[in-house]
Amino acid sequence: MKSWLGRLAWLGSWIIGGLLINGIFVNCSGPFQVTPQTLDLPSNHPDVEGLVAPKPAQSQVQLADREFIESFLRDVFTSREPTGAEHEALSQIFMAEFGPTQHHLGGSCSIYDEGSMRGCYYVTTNQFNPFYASSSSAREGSRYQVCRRLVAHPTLMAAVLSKFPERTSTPDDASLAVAVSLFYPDFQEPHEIIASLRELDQAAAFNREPVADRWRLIVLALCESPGWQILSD
Amino acid sequence: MSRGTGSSRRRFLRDAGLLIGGSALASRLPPLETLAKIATEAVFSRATASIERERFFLNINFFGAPNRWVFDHWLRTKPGQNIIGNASIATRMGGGSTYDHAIYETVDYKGVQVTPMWMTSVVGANGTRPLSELLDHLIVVRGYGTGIDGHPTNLLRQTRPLNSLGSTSGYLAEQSKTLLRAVQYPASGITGYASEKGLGLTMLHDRSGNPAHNLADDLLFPFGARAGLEGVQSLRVRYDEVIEKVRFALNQRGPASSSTTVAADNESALRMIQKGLNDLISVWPSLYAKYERIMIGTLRQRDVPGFSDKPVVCPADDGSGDSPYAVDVGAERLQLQPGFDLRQVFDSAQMVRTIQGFAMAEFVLTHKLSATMEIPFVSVGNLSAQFRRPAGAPAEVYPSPATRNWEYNSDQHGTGSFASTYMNAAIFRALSAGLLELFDRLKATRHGAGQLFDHTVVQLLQDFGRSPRTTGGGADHGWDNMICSVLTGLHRGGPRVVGNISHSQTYADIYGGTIGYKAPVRLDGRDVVPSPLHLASSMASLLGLHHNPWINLASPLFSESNGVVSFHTGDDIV
Repeated sequence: MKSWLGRLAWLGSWIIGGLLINGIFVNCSGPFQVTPQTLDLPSNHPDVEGLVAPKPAQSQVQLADREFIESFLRDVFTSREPTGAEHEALSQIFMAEFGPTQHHLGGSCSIYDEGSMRGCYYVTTNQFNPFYASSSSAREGSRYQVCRRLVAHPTLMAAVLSKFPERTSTPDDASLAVAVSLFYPDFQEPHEIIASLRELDQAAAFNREPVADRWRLIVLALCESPGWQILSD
Repeated sequence: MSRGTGSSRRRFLRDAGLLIGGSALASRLPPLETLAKIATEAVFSRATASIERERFFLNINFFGAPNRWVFDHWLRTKPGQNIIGNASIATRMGGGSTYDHAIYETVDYKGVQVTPMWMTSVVGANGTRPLSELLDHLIVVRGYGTGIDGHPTNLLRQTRPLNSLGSTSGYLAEQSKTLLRAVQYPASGITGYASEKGLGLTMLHDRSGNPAHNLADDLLFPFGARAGLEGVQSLRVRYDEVIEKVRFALNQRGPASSSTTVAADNESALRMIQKGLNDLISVWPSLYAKYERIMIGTLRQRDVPGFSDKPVVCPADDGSGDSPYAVDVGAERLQLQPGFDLRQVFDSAQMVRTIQGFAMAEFVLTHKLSATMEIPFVSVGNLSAQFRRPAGAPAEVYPSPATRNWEYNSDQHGTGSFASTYMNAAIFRALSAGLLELFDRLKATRHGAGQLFDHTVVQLLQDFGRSPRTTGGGADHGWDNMICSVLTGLHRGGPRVVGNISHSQTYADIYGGTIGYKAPVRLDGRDVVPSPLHLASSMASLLGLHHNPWINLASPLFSESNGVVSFHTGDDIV
């Protein structure tokens, strides 16, 4: 009898232990990840330590390709009646930043770019790349660079601001809502996002930043954010 | 990423559960502690196993396909083994007080007959060093073919033997977790990179016109500083913390809330941009200078026994046309000027693209930026030599001797054994000197529990072998006597040759002798004539591909398991 009870207690401790372990990983630790090997960087090259993001070989999300990203940003950074100058400025920025990083963005390179395969680096290796690209640090780096170029361009920032209510000079809640809707048109009542943008603007205003720079910060924060390029997850 | 996370969690619990049954009973620890111990061990063993199986691949392409008799196309591999000679096949220079012809000779190294080149020394980072260090890690694959001509066709088929599938490099890139996964310098469409899942190849523009150009800056272009954006950059940095709050609010609300991968990539890109690349890319000039010193220094060495320790001159009474003393110079086939010392041919030679490629390989591999890297070789410019006036050419427009400056032609149809043996030895020695230096750096770089060198595979590939003419005057395409080499820290203990060759061949009246023509090998109990499928299947094993896509069509000629390389065929002449 004693032996039987002992075995039962032993089995019970296994079950409880298993549940505890399971609970730890399911409820407490957030996403469970094994330390990625990309963080095991060479010890004699400390300069790159921590620069590479952990990620799986294949992303599970579907990200917009280059065509979509360019089209999306072209819509944001042109006025309601786009001018040739706006389109030309956008094209130059896209070519400068996305041309060399085409393969990170998804979609095939265009063998027709300027009739010279420039977009394909004059070879056809990447011409069959599929529409959906994996997420990568390089892709995000390219988006950061494009966003910075866009907000630094006076003509393109003027085009964005032309979409705000006529009375807008400094950012207010109404204009911040319009700004959010440019990048996230599906968001309903994004009060917490507008509040965070208001906080950003107030910090800039406190430091007496020019109004143009206050707008740049707001548009840049939205442009940099990764959410608007995610088609489905 | 919820699916991926869930999968990992389930896999972890399953593995832990499987281990419990066997290990816990033997343990004296209380159940809870035992469980925790096993759980921890399962996590660490998975991470460690993953790193231990990780591979890095450097593919060096000899475009044009030079003859490799002097380098790794040895033919005779065993003492006493007979070959039928061919005047175009030579492995060192011969003569009396001067070298005036080329001869075939092999020497023993750890029981394998290798060519005399391997017994020489090359320029290293700190003085000269023996070339034979490389032999300990060398695997030579020979005796395979495609049965069809064509430069790019045959190069492509060795890395991507089936158009319906990807390439060896593409599959490795797909399973890699490195930042860029696949890099090629310079951009070229004929190396066969193809990813079945569509991973793009990072291609860098050819900058060989400007040796000072910082290619590391090009490679990390997405993260580099931009002129004219200093104001925006400064503004962005000043409000970094507040913008972080905006990002957090957006991520909570939007689709990024469930994508930890995208958010992590976004964060790391920001960190790289903000940190700046100056420290990282500032090493480029010294990297380039180091390989230039080593490779050009080796190319111009004058004291190499059997090659450049005596004047290298062609005899005065040589014939013309298809002769050992002919050289392809651009579109011309010229005869070397009698008395001209061929050792001067590299005095002002440059190999910028190749040196850039080696510097890039060290940069990419030691920083583990990409799992696969493709670079070219056999790009040597500004050769200089004196030639005789071609028969019938008017003296007033064609002086004799005529000095020509040209770019080394690796498709050596009309370069005879005299010049090709001398020049190819120097060029392959320069390549080997670069490899020795690169391997030193890989050995000094830790990966997992060992050296990065033990995880790196270097393939020396080219379009095809050569079919040497019996006149000694050059060699045509050799699509049925292909050759490639593999160098890797996974293999130690001396050179190994894989693949049988035949004495006989097609067109033997023109290309007589033993030229490395393909022959059957015994594989899986059958006689099989290897093709590029067998090479790709072998490389799939060596590269640790999770799935060998060619395994049902071709068994590996050699394979790797638990860090040990096994060889499944011989190296006989049949």
